[in-house]
Amino acid sequence: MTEPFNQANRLDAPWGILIDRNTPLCFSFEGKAVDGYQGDTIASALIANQQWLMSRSFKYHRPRGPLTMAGQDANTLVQLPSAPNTLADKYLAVNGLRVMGQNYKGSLKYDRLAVNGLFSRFLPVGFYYKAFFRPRGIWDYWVKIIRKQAGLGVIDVDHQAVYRDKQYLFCDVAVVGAGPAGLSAALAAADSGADVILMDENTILGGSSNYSRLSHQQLERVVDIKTRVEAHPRIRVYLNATCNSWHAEHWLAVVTEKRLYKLRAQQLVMATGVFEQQAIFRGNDIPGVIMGSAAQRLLRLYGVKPGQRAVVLAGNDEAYAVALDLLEAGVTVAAVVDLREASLNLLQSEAQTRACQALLSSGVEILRNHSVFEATSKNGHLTQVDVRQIVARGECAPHSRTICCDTLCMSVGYMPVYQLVCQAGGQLSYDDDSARFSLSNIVDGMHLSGSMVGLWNISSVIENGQAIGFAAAGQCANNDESKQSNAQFDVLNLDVLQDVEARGLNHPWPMFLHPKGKEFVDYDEDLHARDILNATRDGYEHIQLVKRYSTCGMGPSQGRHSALAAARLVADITHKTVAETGVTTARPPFASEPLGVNAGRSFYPRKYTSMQPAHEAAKAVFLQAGSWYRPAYYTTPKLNEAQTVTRESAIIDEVNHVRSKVGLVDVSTLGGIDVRGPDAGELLNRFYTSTFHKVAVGKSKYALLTNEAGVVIDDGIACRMAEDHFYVTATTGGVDRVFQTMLKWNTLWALDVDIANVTTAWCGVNLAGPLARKVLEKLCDCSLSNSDFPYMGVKEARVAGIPSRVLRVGFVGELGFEIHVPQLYGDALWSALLTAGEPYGIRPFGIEAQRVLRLEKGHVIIGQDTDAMSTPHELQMSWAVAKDKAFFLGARTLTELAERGLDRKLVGFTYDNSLGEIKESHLLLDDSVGVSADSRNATMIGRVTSSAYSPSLGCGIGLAYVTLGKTLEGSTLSIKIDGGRRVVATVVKLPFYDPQLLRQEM
Amino acid sequence: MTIPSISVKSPLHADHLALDAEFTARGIGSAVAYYGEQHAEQFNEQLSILDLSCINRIGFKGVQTCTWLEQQGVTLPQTPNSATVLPAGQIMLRLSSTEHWVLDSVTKDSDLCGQLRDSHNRSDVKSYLLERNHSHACFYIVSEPGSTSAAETMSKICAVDLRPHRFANLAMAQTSVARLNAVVVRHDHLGRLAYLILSDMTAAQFMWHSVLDAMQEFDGRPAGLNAITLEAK
Repeated sequence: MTEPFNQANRLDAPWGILIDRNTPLCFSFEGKAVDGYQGDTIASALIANQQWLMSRSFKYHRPRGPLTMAGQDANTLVQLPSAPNTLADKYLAVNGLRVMGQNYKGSLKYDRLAVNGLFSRFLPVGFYYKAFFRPRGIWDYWVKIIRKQAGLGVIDVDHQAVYRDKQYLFCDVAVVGAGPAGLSAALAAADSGADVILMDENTILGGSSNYSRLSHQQLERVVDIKTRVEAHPRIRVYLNATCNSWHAEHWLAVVTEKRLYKLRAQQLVMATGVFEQQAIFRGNDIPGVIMGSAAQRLLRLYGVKPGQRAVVLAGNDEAYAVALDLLEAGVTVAAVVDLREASLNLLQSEAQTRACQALLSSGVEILRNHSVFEATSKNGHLTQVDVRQIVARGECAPHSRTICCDTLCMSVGYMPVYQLVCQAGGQLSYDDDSARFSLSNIVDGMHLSGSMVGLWNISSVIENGQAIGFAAAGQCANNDESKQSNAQFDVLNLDVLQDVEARGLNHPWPMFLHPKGKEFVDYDEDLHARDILNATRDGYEHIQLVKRYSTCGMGPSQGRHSALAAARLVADITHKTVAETGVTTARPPFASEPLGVNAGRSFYPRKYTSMQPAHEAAKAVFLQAGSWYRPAYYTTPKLNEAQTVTRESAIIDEVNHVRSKVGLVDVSTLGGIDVRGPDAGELLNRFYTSTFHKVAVGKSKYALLTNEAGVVIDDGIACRMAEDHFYVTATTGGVDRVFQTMLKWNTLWALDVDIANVTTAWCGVNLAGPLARKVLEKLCDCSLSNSDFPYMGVKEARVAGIPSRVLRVGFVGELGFEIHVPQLYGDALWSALLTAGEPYGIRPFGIEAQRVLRLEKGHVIIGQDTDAMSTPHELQMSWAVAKDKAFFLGARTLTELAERGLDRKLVGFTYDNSLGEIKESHLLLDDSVGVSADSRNATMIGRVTSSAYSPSLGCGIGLAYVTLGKTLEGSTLSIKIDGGRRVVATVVKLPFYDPQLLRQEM
Repeated sequence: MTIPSISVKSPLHADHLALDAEFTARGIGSAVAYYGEQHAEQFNEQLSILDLSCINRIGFKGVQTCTWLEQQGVTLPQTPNSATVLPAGQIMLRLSSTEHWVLDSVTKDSDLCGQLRDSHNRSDVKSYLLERNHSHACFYIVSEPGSTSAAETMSKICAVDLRPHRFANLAMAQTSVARLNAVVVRHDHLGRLAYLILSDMTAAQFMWHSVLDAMQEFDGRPAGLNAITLEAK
């Protein structure tokens, strides 16, 4: 393999239907220029240039080359500049592409890590589990060394992500696989009126008919179907599209290069074909040892000879077709080594005889009842095979015969592409006597067709596909057209046994173990037969345990070629049948997919209030709260240009400003619910802990919501706008839940109430501070005096000409008015208030300052100061629970809990913030053993829920849950802060600020 | 509530300005008349999205809603999740047996919403008003003639099968679009396949850009009201 790259293996037309010889291209592999044609994969171009070595194996760093030429194995994983682990036999070559091998040290040809193979005896299955667990902690040492050796390829962290998106698709009948069966199924379904989607992972329609040895008549028949499919108005064709997973109700994930399709089909036809399986013998992984179908793909798809001198290992009659193809392409076929004593396919004897005669007349030797016992290589490529007579199942005679060759084609059996069917709950079964697979337990609406159900003759396959297509269309809802015409095709649903070509496709035991091993069962994980056998000897006899212990089937090819071989080996050593042993579970995805497929365009809604332009103009720093983006604090106004506004300084400034003058905060994200109807008061009475019957029109009341377990889940203000109308606020994050819960209970209670979530229909601001009234009076069309509009009053008024709901509330502990207006007027309201407040020094404040202000008032935030166990009594909010109500949600539980007594309470504390910063979630420790004691041995007696520096008090303040012994005023709390230090805080009575409530009720 | 004289802006006002939009007074505020040098005839050649958030719309909900609306002389859709178009171009949406939304005409002068609001304010009917002008943004996606590109666009952001042969003209779906709750109505425009999307006003920018992104492969662009009003004439 040292010749220069010169496309020496390239054939003339008509070989190579995928390549365009008029469009040459050039790329590099390992720094060396490679010529090819448009339509070539990286691998086909390399083989055309006699470069078989493409990768190094995972563990032993053995040289590897293409096995299937269909992207079904990991032997062709190469490194592209921005994508490791690219399948060279699937990825189309393009001009200028730089391709490298991967997973080697030194060069691909001379990999220093290939020395690992010499120590394979000392690297048995389960090596990691057995070797690195003693002495304790040694794994931490080894893991660094192992990690350097592990992994494939290099990630380009500077890679610019390509745009990938998603799209939903719908159809009556989806057909997976566009081979002869899938084509005829799609055509039949569409002819019967169904809307059909046909998808295939390949670049052209036709599946195996594009590379198999078919008669002229057979080919013409397939071409005719293809032409009709392409022209059919009811068939949408998706090529280069891999159906990667099946989900309930035939929801399919279909992956293409730039888009993930989410396809929902009424009926599903699976025509996914078969995977050819390898024979198991020493050296079956050497570059040059390939599947028979891989040789045919190289010839017919890419016009590339796999070698100059070939041996064909036959386990079925397809091997003879491969040998004839090779001969026709000018490859010398040194021998056909047939595992069978005679052709098992007796009914095909005439055709078989003709094939044999053709081969013999061309000088091809046919060795029956023989096998390849060992393949050997030189310079990383196959040079000869050791052929021996078979003396018993899996055993060869000692006498060997060497045949020189550079290509060995294996045609010994097939396994259905069962993965998607089994994802849908299908069961793969194997008959040990006939060596045939079958799929059962097929989900409703799924139909199987073609070679995956064991059919092989092209006519049988097409007719079966046609019958299945009609059947699928007939089962679609509202497709009467096809139901009428479907009956005549039932007879075409052929029994597999009638397809004589399908018999004997699978050789029952193409496995010949060698005393020196290296008969690879799993190429991805470098597992040879002995590894599987040793796994069972270690006690892992179940195939699922063998998989996990040995990692068999866990590599990129996901058991496509190892599942059957492993099952046979496990069955043999455990004295079970292959059917009893089974194969491992098939899970999505069917094929590897780039992370970008799932990580591509996604939807993360962002919500802004209508005052957003004003916030941006004031250079607000935003905080995300769910989908909302809210101003956390403002970086303007500055005292001067040189001033640096930090988060801390902004919060202190904003708090001081509200306490001394007037501030404006956007509260639009607060939930809003209109409760309207004659039973509105009754609903709220049952729903919240307080009594609402007696709330007068024009008044509001604090509304605390508990669930059936008595746990506080939300709070807000219920404003009585009219006798039959309450406007209820809820927390930003909780409004959807409150709305849904309210709807549920309203339905159960059958009250005459309409409930509407008006959160986004309204926006609002809180105008707060001692000068708030003066500002609002300039804009409002009603009296705002304390007597006309007292604390907790509600009015419908016009503010700056805008119809508004004005609430006199005091969340921040100052004279305050919440003004709620229809959403689109928010910007106008905000501007009007800022203008009106200019003489009073008004400025906006963010939610960070609002949090400090409310903390100074001792107000809790649901979700921050509450948890999944918090009751009103723990929160010291018993005042919000009506004593005289017969019922409200959670009442019964709260009564029972009250009888049991409390375990903890939420208390306020102050501390000297110069000693350290207490943060939310810091723990309170039992200080009975002294505050300097080792924290690890201290008992946790509570936790901090809120903490901040209080500009109004000039010290640190906070809320914390504490056990009962620590709730009294003056109690000291030992709080463990960052770094493990402890800070002592003192329990104080709430609220911290303005306990007489003089400021908010002024 | 009576409507003030203050003109409002769509939440997308800044986005429209960035596209060199010219505005026209419509509904409760100003809507885009056209963008930059764009002329109405361009609308004929491309997939378009229009921001109709300033066009009047209103909702009514309650057990007497149907009866009351019919008393106002309005023809209602017969079944939930469907719509009708009134002779003057207004669209009636029936969301459930007790909830209807009214969308004023885009192409003709109409103030049915205002009339219904006034009438409702004067009555004591058991039907509750819903401020859909403010709660829901409104977008209109219109295919180029003979194309289904609007359906293709929708299939990239909505999991409901909205293809024309499955989703009839004036059919409605209350569903999720780009992960936002939305009402989708097929409302063909002069024979062109078209869909209305009504979704959360506070996420209007998100929806607008999500649709624009989905339209990109069909060369979809924003269009102003002139495009459909001129064509309708």
